Amino acid sequence: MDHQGFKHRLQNYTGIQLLLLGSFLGVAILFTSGLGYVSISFGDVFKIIFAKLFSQAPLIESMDRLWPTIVMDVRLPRILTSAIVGGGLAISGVIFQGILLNPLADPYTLGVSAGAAFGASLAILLNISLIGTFSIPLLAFLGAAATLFLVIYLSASSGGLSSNNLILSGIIVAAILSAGISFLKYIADEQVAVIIFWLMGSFASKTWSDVLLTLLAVCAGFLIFIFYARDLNLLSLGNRTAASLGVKTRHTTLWLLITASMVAAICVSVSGIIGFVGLLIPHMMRLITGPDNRKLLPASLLAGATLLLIADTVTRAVLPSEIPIGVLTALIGGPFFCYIFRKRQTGGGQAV
Amino acid sequence: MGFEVNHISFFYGSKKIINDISIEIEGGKFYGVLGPNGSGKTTFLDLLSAHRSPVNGSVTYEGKDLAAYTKKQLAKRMAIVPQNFYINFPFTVADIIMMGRYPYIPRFAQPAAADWEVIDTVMQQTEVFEFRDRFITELSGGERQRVVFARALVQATPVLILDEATSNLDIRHTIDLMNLVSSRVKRSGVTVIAVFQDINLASVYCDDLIFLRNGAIVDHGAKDMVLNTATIKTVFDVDSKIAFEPYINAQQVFFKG
Repeated sequence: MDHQGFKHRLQNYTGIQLLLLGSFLGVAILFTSGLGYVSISFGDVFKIIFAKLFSQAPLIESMDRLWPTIVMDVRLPRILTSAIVGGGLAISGVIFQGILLNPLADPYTLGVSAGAAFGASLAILLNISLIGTFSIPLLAFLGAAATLFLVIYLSASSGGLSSNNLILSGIIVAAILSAGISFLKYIADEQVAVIIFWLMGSFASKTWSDVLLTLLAVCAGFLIFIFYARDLNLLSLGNRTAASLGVKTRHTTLWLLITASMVAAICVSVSGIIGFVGLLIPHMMRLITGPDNRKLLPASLLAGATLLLIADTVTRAVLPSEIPIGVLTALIGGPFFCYIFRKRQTGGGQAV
Repeated sequence: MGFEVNHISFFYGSKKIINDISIEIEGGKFYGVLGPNGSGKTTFLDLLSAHRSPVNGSVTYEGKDLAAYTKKQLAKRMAIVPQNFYINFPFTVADIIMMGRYPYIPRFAQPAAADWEVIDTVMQQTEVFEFRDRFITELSGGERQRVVFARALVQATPVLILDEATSNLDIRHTIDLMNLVSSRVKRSGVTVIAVFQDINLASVYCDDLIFLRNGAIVDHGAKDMVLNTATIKTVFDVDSKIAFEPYINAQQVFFKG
């Protein structure tokens, strides 16, 4: 009972929790901007950003000429992209878990990642360069979107979209696509390395246009999610009950699924496939905020951003050589997931 | 006023579930819907609550076609207690019951003091008050059922639809909840439409009975008029004897094994 009482008290402090998570993210961004081959102090990073934001050039005259370029043009775009992608994957995971009534769902459950991977592989293999560097992300996005609509088409029945149908269709389509990816790799010859590298995910050499693109997608997604957050709570009571409480179930489900998949698709198209963030963060945050999506969404956004930012910094600045971020998150996230899953099986905690 | 059901039919694929049902359901009465498994009881309730739309025919409530109401308007008029209920996320009991007030609370607003009063009263009436802070995922089937019942009652609707709502409950809680619902019918003119498996329980609480078989109405009307051995034989295909029991002031059915 004490344990429960503790959780309840925790759940009543949403404002403070969000403030803490937000400040932690802010500090992490400033701190990690200083880390790397050239080490820059926390204060100097702050000065550089402040000077650039408010055009206070004299403030940074005394420091190394390269520092502002390193911070503003090299590190910050990468750091912000990783944070935004982390937040985007986490909130999209919240939505998928809520809609599919399954705490083990993640943004890739409906095959979005497989679709994106197939699109990207195709772009690399055929050397498509219609619109320059954006060709791979564009094809990745198109692949993800096409997969989503195929999955929704397969699972739609007269009674609406059932979570079992969606999960099953997602698995089937993903299986077909992954066979397709294997085939593309098989015929790719020397391009195979590029494909494999893309699939494992990376934030290396991200630019401000990546920041802008992901920021727009994640912000738009977050607003739509928050708008429907209360309806999503009701959907966890089942479609019939939710409808009897005034939720337009089909409309809400469709909007949320499409938005969440688009957010995930845009994240994937920019960064490659990064697993476990969208699965783990909603889990962990639900222990702190409780299952109310109105609290869970902002908490997951901030925590997801912080986690992926830190993970990317580890591979960028801490490890002796850079390992793909998707590999790192899976290597850390996988065992951690096993741990909480096992804890749940042995009754060591509530169902998360 | 109440419901007017005009020649409705419903299909799953090519299988006919509801076959040309017409009935008038008056307000302020307790209706029991009885019939064997697969006779279309739940689908009938779904059509009355506008969760499904009839393929043919129409259902009107208070003189207006159900299709003309918005979901929000319906949520203030009808509440449903479903039969099976499973929630995968650890909401507290009070959280779940407060969801019954959502039709009255604007999307981004907090519950008002009046909402808390309503849920406190109902939580006490349904005896879930003492575990209001526990997680729904940790309750027994019967406790969960009472929570779901409470959630429907706080919705404060003129129509209450029960789909075997007491199937998981022990006899005392069944009686308590039925008394609670029955007093709402008598005092506040609430209309209750309830599917029962237990014919004798229906006989104690209902004013009218509706017998369904193969998606059609076999007989309906005041319970003393329609509850007879011939109907039981037609609907359920079992032999029975019916006797008035003065101890409970209602007819009871005895079945031959």
